Amino acid sequence: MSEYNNHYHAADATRVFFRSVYTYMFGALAISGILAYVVGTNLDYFAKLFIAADGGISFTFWVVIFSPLLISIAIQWGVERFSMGTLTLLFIAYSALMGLSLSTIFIAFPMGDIIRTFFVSAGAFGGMAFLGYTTKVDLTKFGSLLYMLLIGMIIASIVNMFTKSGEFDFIISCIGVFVFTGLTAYQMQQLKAVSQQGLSGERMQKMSLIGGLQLYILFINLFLSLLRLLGGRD
Amino acid sequence: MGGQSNDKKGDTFFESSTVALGTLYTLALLGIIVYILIWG
Repeated sequence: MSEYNNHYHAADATRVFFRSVYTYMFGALAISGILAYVVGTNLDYFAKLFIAADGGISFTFWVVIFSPLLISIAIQWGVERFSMGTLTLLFIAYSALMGLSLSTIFIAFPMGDIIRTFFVSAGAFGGMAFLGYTTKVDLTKFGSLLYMLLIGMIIASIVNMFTKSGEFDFIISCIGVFVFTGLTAYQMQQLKAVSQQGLSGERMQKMSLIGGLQLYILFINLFLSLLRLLGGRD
Repeated sequence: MGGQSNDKKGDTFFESSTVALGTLYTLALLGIIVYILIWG
């Protein structure tokens, strides 16, 4: 009977943890999605924020583009040091700034392609998340390989900003879809392991915030990689 | 985030940097979109 109770409580703790993880993930997606849509579909807002008086890129654009990186580093560094309130503020600022950055896709791609790609990404993400949660296969080695590929892709993407090769871009996007669907399964398995550690209180909240952000950024990158493959250009 | 059977420091470092690495890749992709597709 007590074994049954322990099992019941562990399952309950896992459910509470994942509910919190998904709340953070969908919260971040909602904040980013609304801001991206509002700014990206309103050329006045977009121009005021991102285009300088001389027609070039404004200073605000660079702030919006680079600040999410600094905030993400601050969140990862501060997860054991900052209070939950500080982490939540950083989380909201990160989601909002990512939304402003993502508004550029509404200028570059037709709305129909963005909506279609969003649903394709959601399906692929959901499938891989389910696979990662339910599989008995240890994905640790697979995850390490994917992280190496991700670093290679970051370097290749930065190089391609200068070389501007369409074929190279296509190859990077294909690898991106593979890497981010794979990392989704891997990360879900890792989160499942964390949820079974019996976390509670603020520690559980902090871990679920980080978990939610991890799933959020994996989804965004899967969506962007697919958009570059499936999306036409305006 | 802790690993299941992961005891290699390098792997743990990359795991704990998922958000930062993912953000860096997002920004590189958006940089390409802005440079090539919009202003290119």
